Amino acid sequence: MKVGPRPAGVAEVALRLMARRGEGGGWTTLLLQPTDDTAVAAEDLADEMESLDGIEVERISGASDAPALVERLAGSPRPAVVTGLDEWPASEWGHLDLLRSRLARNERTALVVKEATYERILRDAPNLESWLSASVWTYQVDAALLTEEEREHRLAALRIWSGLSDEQVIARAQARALPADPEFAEWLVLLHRGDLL
Amino acid sequence: MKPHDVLRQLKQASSPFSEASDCVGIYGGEKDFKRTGNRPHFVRHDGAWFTFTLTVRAHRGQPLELIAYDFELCYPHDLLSSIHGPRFIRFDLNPPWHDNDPRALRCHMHPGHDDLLAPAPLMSPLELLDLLVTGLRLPEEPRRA
Amino acid sequence: MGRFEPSADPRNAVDRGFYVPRPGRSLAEQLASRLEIKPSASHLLVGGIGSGKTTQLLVAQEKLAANEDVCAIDIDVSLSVDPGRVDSEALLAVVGLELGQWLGNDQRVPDQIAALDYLKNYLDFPHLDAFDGLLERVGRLHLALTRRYPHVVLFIDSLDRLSDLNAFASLVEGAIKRLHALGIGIILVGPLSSLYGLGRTTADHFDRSWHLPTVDVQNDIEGRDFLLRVLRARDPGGLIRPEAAEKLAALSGGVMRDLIGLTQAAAEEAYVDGADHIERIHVETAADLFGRKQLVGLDSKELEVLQRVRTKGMFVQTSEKDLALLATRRVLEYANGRPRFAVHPTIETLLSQIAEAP
Repeated sequence: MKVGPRPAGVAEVALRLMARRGEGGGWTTLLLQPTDDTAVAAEDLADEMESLDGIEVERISGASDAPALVERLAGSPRPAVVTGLDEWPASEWGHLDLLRSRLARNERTALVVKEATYERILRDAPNLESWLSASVWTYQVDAALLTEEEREHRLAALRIWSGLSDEQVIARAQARALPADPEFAEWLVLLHRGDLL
Repeated sequence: MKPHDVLRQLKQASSPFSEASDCVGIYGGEKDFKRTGNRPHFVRHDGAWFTFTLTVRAHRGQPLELIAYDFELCYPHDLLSSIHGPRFIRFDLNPPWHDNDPRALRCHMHPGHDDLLAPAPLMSPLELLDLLVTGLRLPEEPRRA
Repeated sequence: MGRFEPSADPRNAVDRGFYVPRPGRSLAEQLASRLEIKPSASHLLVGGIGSGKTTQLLVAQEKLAANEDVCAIDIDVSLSVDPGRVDSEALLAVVGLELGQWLGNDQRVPDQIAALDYLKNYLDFPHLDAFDGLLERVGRLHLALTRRYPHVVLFIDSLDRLSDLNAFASLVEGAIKRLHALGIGIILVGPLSSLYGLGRTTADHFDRSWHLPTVDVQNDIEGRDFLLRVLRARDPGGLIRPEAAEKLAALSGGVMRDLIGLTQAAAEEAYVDGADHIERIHVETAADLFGRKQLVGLDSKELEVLQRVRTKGMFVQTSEKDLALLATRRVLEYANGRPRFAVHPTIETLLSQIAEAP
């Protein structure tokens, strides 16, 4: 039985982090699996954070070492999303742990790293890790997506409403004879036929 | 409504049709065609509830292109017991298809009836959300003539 | 939520009146009292991660600074020098520059200005065989300062981050010893391992060693009440329900930073739940989140060790990995009377579920 940090989408992680207003800022960590796209996850998270508060979010990527990361974070008065640290060796995390006093900032910081990197943080930067506290999440890339059940539910409701079948809707769309209701745009997307829009 | 519940109601679906483009559906709650109030929706403090659907086209590196939307606000029966008002108000943006119906208005509203249309300005999704969340409040007492 | 930020500077907490003294005479009080009697003494302060060492140091410094005869200076070495590279020379330079700050710009005479330039130059361009020169300049500045303040006491933080005990020993036998010989009082936060095994010889260089223990929430009623008072000091509005506060104290395992962090997490759960108060259920959810991240990356052997600690209270450090379990707070050590070990309360239920899983 594997127990790990709870899964969450970027919208939820952003909501929780941006709700922390006031002194001291605060940290959150988003853990990615080896196959997850770090750049996309980080950019989506930064976008969500910006949309919640209307404040521009600093994107800090690929700091070469601990002093460089400290300098970039200290130099920004804005909330920040930090990525590009997965190649750091254990010793560099240890180094960051030693320099952690310089990381104190009055704004919110999100760390986006692979799960293996977080293991290194736990082991080699235990003081820094104690700052991260409970706000550690496993990235759920499809958190906001309709489940198959939800998709089918919506399609069923559309079929009842219109009296049409999926095939009829596609045929009419191909013949450019669909009624001009927004429901039909929704229908085509649900059928993965956005090409007919 | 709890922030968690708000998040849970927000969903999306995508239909990629090329490497650089996606059509995306963004859903706020579930469409309630019979307006029973039994489907997932967003609830206001006055008891009115709303849902919305957006269809957009996403091109990599460019702003989203709005294809269609529908935003519907429903008033519960008990709110309407003392004030006579429409059961619902709905704002639609039809998809940009060829339409033979001379009555059709791409951007319109339905003031309480699915077959009654009136022109409406094209609004951004956030403007519409703002309107549905904070506006369109039924008065506590009817206006006197 | 800002009142419960685990990464916040402890100085802010002290300045905002969040400090709550421990039951009996707090370590800060004891340190301050002893230094009032003997300002030139040297003290070593150690404690686990998040135990509140920096807070105790700051409070002790504040108490002593109320004495007009004492110049009580707090120094976070890591802000000026990379702790991974700090040696006796660098430490002397940092101390000297701090002494110079207290002299004030308008009171510095040329040889003091020259001394400060030398020290600053050393930090920018370290070079060999500088120890005696640095010490001489520090001595010069100290002498100048004692014309205003008969006694100078340094509160030195962040040297506890040195995992290399040899490096720490070298600092103690070098710079610290020579500063002490100048008549400067010293309280130094050092690595926890300096109290054990071979590290003990380094601790013997100090007049007194102090260990800030983890509060034994299970067996120490006064300790548990202390944690509740800490929460109340930060929650004047009563957002935390009493039963939730009790749960927070218990689940923190007595680690101060974890108490603060768990409270923040519970506040966050209350927020997303749309609740007006922090209830027990929010605390339980926060504890589950906290515990889950504590279990990341553990192999089967480490899980075995944790299960043994959980079920039998047995923990014998036989390897680096075992020591790491202690350092990362998966295992907590309580020194209230008879020492005992326990797993962090937030992982107890999860470990139990793992043990029961097919």
